[in-house]
Amino acid sequence: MVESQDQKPCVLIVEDEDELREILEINFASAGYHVTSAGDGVEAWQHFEQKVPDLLLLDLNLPRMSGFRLLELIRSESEIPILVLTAYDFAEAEEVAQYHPDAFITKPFDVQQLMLAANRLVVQSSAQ
Amino acid sequence: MNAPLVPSDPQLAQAFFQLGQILTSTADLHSMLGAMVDLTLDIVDADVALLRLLDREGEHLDVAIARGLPRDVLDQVRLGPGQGLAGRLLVDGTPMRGLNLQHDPRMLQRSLAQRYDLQSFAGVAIQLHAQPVGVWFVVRQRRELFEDKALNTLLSIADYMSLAIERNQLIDTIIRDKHESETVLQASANGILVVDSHGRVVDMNPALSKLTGWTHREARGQPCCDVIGCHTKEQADSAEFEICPLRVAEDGQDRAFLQYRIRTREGESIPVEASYGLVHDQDGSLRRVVMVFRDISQQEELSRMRAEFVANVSHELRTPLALIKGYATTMLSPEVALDAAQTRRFLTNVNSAADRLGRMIDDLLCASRLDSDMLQLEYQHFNLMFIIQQILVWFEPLAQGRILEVDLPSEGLQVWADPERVEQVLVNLLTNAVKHSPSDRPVRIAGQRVSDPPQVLVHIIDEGEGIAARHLPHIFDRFYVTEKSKKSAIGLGLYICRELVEAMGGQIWAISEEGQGSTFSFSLPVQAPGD
Repeated sequence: MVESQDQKPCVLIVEDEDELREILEINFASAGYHVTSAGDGVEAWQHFEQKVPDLLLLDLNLPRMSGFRLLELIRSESEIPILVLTAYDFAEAEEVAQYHPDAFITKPFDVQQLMLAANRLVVQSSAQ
Repeated sequence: MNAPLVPSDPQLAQAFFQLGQILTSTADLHSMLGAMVDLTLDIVDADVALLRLLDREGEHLDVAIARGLPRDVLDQVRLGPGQGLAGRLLVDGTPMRGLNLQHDPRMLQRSLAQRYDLQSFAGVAIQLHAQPVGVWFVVRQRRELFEDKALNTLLSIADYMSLAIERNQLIDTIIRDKHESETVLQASANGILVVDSHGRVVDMNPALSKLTGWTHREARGQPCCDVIGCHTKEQADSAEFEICPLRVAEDGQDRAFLQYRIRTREGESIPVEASYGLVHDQDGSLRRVVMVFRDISQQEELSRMRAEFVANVSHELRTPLALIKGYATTMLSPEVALDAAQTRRFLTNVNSAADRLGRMIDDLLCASRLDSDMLQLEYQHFNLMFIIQQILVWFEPLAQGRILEVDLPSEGLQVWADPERVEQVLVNLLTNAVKHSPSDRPVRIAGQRVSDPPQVLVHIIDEGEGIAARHLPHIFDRFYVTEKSKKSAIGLGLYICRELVEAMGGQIWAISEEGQGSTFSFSLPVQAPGD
């Protein structure tokens, strides 16, 4: 658990597939995160502008605004930890690398491993 | 062959002057030989002449020229090498003469000699590169031996004759070869370009005209770089286009199967496989560069589609797999507490994700069987209405809230088809309709029976995003995906539908406009063919 009740870490989950988004929401909520989620790039950017989260969980394949574009926008404003979810291959991994995401998780993934990676990113970034 | 000599005798000198004229005035062997024979008859004061040439197979001495004798009578006896006077002369090669042809034991047609009163004769063999190719005789209708001078004249004329024969054979060979290469050039499906040593176009074939958009007439004399879009030496730094034939010529080597791109007159770039051959003059200097281009854009497009297909398939397989893995690891996580209802819903979703995977694998197998003609159809008479009703029962949850409207005639829809495959087509079309339309708009299934020919039509109508006009003609193509569906389709569903419907004797089509929804329709026969 990433804890301290008074200030729960905030995660912004951006995933266009409803079922997968629900899986992520349940896991992050159970791990003590304050969860905000979006189903497309535009909605995600609106959430980001309202409140910068402690962690961004981002699927690259998004309607309305692509994950690449969103990554570019967010990186121009913030250095928050970003965990990229992808079903893509290496070529796209190279493309996304220029926006310095902090970690990649390839679909299909083990949720428990994803949570470990996410928690580690949040702890590291709060320690800095 | 003896070198023809210019004789000192003024009559002969005049004759040889005429021979020169004969050799240069016509290309026709027969008239050349005829003129030589006529000239000789005069010079040697003979009445009859006969020229026989060995046929192509070397088996018979055919009559080429006859003077003073009827051809048809001569043709009655066919002589081979060694047979008769002519055959022996051919084999022996030594000039011969005699006083009495009618009594010569070597003569096979002595009656002919008698009938035409043939008496004194002289004959010589005609040789080409020391090989006998024919013989020729002159005959007097009087008993007066041919003089040495006459025999020498015959020999000299025989040399001229062999010159004429050789020239004729060469011209024949050249014309035949030229005709053959011309035919290859014209008929070749590959583009062929011939350029000179300065890189200017000498010739090109229709296939290359089609490829480049330049006609033969326009291209002739143009720099080849303009016609096929290669780069000159100075521009060649930009790598890809560097194989200008002139650069190839510098290496002095033929090259084969280079990957290359031709730029057409319209500026389009076409991938080709190119081979080059160099033609040199006898002194070794470059005369022509011959280039052959094979259009490989179809292969390139196919391999691009295959690569895209593999990428799409793996992405598509991963998506339901990610759900299964996500649900399973969530349920296994000690951090997550789920109530019974949540657990049940998760398992239901796992189940449908597994079904989705299964259907995709079915599609892949089905397409592969269709491609290799291995799909067996099991035909029967059945009521399509029952199939549709069955599908609706289990498909409803997959419609995700969309209303499925059904409009079927009360008397039912009897068809002759494979029910399992018809179901596959229907599910495919329904899945597409759901995928591409908003959840608050209905999807309608309508069926009707038409006559002439008697068949059943089924329509799947949605009110979704529709299909852009540029995609519409291609949506049933294998591996075809639009930009929109790229991320969630493998380009097999509609292809399979079309292949199945057509295999069952029906047709499939779509009517759609962007933003206005789509109607997919297919027909199936009512009766088995021949019923």
